Amino acid sequence: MADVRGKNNYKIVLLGEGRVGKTSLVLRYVNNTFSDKQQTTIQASFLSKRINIGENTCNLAIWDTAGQERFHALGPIYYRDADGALLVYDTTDTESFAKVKNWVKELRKMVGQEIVLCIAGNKIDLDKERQVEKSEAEEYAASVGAYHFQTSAKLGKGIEETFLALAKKMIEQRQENDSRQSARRSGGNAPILVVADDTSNGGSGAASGSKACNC
Amino acid sequence: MENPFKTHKLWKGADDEDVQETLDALEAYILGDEQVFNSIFKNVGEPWERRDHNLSKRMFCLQFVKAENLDIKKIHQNHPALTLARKMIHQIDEVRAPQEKIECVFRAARIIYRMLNETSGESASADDFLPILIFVVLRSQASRLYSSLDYMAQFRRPSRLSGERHYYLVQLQTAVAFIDHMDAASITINPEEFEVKYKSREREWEERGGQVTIVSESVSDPRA
Repeated sequence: MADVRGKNNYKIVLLGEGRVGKTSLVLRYVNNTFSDKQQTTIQASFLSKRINIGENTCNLAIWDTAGQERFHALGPIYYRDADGALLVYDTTDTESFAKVKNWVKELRKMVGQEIVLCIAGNKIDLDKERQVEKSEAEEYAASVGAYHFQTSAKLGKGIEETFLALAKKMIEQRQENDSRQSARRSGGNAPILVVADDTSNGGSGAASGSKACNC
Repeated sequence: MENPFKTHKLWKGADDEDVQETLDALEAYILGDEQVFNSIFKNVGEPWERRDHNLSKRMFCLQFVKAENLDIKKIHQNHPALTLARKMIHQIDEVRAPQEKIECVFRAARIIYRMLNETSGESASADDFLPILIFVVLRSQASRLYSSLDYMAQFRRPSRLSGERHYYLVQLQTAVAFIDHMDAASITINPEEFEVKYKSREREWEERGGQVTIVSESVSDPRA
């Protein structure tokens, strides 16, 4: 019988303020490649996509969350069993970037290092109105061990790369967890230790999701 | 559980989907039985009963909350789809098998999304969906939501509780949590107004002796 969290199933939560375009980002991602297939989902808040990475086939389940501030406290219900989080901000809106920082802090506190974080600066098509500089965002992402990508849901830019990097890293992370767990099992009663190293995991920019881990 | 089927001659040559459907039928048959169901629901334990009771009280007291307090768009506030969705949520109490309960949640969600897509022209997101679901749940008069949520999660076979259906179950859980913690700060309302109205409903609740059924003019219609 298939497990809910089956070997190849990965859950991604979408976090971000209301108007940053997180929904269109995912729609763009899922529909572009599945354009020849009939969408069976009824809407855009739960989307799934199957992708091939090397020898791995993985099923991504993408969970949209309500971005309004009043629903912030409900976040843990969505992200507690997620493998990855895609945090979206609007490059023309500094406040939305500040929100992303809050989310990162919270996620690291609540679920630790095991969740893969990816930050996407959306709406780069509106470059004239840009408020959040790419270098600033990249620097921040690197400091918290998250990927950073610039996207445009409108132009379909950077989206494929974003999800690909996220997926690669989630696969890697799960393999790491699995081997850590089996090591723990064979190692008897060793205390559960999660290796937390912010800076060496995951860079920003290019989809180089295969940096060596240090455990 | 599927092995006895797979090895039985009647299921010879059945593929995985056939076996899954057989198991679905079996699950619905056993848990859909009135006595089996009642014995489970009567024994959910004191904590769940208390939570259900407290939630019923809160839902009763919060009936003054209107769609606009949740910033639901005008075109959606009076939409007939809300009535349908509300009935679907209410129906969770009336069906027994976990798959039937989950189907109620799923249908309610589908009704809301269809409305959103039809009225806005573009794909609806969770930002629009959740406030409406909260409103619909608040008006639903469903009385055992915590127990039902736990029951669905516990008794639906895990392989069938995945994907979209799982997502909507979590959305319902979120809506319930929001209602349970709703205060003047979490919705768009004057704090004094909230306080006065809540207190008055609370008095009414006490006068009724903490009765679970909330039947009144103002709650039977979401347009009220």
